[in-house]
Amino acid sequence: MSASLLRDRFALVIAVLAFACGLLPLTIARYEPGIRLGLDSTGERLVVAAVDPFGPAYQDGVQVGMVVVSFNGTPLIDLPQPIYSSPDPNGGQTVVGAEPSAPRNRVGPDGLAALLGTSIDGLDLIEPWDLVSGRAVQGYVVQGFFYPGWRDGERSAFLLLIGLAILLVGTWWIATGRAGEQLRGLAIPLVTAVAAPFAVSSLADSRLPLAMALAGLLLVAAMIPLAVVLAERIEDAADRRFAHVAIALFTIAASIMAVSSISQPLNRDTLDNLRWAFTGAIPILPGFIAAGPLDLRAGRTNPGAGGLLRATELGLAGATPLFALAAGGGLGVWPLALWLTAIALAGRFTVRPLARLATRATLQRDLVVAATEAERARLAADIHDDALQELTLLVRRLEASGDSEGAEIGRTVADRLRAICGDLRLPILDDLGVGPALDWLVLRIERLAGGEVRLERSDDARHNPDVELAIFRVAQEALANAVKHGKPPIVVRYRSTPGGISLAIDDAGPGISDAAPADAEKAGRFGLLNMAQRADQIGAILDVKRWPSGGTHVALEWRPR
Amino acid sequence: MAAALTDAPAPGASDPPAPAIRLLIVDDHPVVRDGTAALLAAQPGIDVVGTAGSIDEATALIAATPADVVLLDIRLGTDSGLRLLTETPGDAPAIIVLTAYDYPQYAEAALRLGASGFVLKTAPLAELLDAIRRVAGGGMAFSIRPRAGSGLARLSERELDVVRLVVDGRSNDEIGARLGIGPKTVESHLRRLFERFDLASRTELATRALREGWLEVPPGT
Repeated sequence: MSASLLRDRFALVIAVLAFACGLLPLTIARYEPGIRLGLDSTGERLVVAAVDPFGPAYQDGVQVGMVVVSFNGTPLIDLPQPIYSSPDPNGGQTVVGAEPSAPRNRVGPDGLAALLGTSIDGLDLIEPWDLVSGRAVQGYVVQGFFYPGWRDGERSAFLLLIGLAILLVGTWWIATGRAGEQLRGLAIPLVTAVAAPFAVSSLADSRLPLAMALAGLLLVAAMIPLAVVLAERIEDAADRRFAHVAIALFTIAASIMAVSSISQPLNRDTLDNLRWAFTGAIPILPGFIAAGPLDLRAGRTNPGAGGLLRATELGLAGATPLFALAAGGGLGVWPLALWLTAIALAGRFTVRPLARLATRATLQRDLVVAATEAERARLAADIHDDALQELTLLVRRLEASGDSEGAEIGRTVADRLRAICGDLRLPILDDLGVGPALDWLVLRIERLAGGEVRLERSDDARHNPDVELAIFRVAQEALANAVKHGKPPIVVRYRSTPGGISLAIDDAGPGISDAAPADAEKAGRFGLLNMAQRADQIGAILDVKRWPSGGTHVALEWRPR
Repeated sequence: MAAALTDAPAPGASDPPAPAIRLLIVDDHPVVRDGTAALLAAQPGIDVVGTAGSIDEATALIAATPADVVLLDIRLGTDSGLRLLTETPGDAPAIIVLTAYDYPQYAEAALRLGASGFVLKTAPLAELLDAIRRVAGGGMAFSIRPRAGSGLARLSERELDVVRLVVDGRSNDEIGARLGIGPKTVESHLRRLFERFDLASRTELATRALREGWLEVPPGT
């Protein structure tokens, strides 16, 4: 409990931190390109006086000394444009001059000085020697740079609001169980992982290496609580360890990618894509393992409809942050919106109807079993309580009247009726429990098996009658199979404690084949399926296998919930 | 219930011993109950002093009516008559389980839970009368013989605890610590069990207990 509280707190701290960091560029910093302008020695030209080595301009290749041709869309220098002759008969034209003949300043020194305090949205820059050596015929090498800070700011603010909305609405939506029962417990980690990419998008879009690295690290941190919480849902201990190792490795890899943003990589896109993939992978792997698709071992019991739905929810929860992370790539909210819409549509029209269908099928199966057992119990009670009792009385009357032959016939009929009662619903099971009922069953089976059938039992506790009945029926089925397909000695081990029930039946036959379940169902023999259903119904784990040395092993484990 | 029990006079304490055997019949089926009562009441030396149709009725009846023998059906509606065996105090009248079921498991359970007799409902009347007389005289009457050993393992609570821990594979020290008794006491419990059931080792004790279901819990608990 305290561990999950700690995790939720950690996730919340990360979420708050992400929003605080996301707000910083919007409030304190402007979207500065990192360029300081100045006047050249003549005072007639605006030139780049300094470039912040950590700013975007530096990475764009802006260098000190470059001359400003136009500032925020206003031309400062008119570059010579070629003047063409009128077309000759062949359609050819020749350059006859240039206007102006040399680069000409449009703004005087005072005007330029006034621009120095203005923030930069866009610049056209030219190298000084290109300006000097340029010819109108060849054209001038002018480079355009755009730093539309206010536009990015607006977009970042929008994404920040989306993130806030996800955080608030998402927490409420998930914590109230509207997104699925399984997700209830992981509301805060999940929402943090999905909202964080939107919160830090202003940092990522600032294109300042330090801010980008911070954004990358915050995103990695935001994924970890969700990954850990998903890993906890993995049932198998070995799988869980594997998931923890994977989380650690992906975290390290994504962190390295994030920090690498500070240096100047050759190919920033590749690095960004890798970082996106590694960060997204942190919760995906544990989500998928918890959902089950990576579990290659044969499922021991049918997960049932609830299990399928649960698996889907966990898998989707692990994958969702990947789409939120795409917000940093300039795609904004669209990938997440499309993904959530797809999930909602698939859930509405495919998954939930299928799950409902499966639930209904399970329910109907359980109803059939319950109705059959109730009917059998009713029949047994009817025979025992009325017919058998009155027959008993009749036997006594016959005896009292001296008709010992009639009494004997009556006794034989009573024996038959009793046997029928026992087959319908063994009264020993209700009165004395599974152990003595197995004792009776083993004695009876031994006559059919033609060899030793041994029972080892320790019944320390009685359990719910439905559970006892299901376990007895599984034992009946398994023993019938052992007699039919296996060989004695058959050993039945039964142990019942307040902590649960375990039942194991072993025979010395050739052992069940791997194809047996499928073959039996095709041939219309449902013994194995019956056992599996009975086990499923009480939430027990059934394991049917062949020992490497031969012999079938049927094991049932049940724990009270 | 406890108050009613202490208020009730002990059997045979308040009135001088009657020559007839005082009989109580517990059966949920009215026709059978009355039929059996009429049949037995007609027998010399037997006095049917009361009948009951459920465990609660029977408990009250036993507390209020001095009797020598109780005839007890196992299936009382959805209830198990065997529960009465675990609930009646030591000075209650002797109980004969009278049932339609000829399962040895019932006979064994009846014996283990302290019944004095076990007779099938379809048994000849002479057999039932014989059982009633024998049990009234302090004897036992089982028309189905419990299998060798099984039902005879009538163990005290403490002995059951010891056996349960032996089955779990605990050492004497561990058993002692668990039950709050000394290892010596555990040893003497075990020695007595070995003598009583002719056992050579704790493994044999555990095997025997598992095979014969010594640790089976009584119904209704």
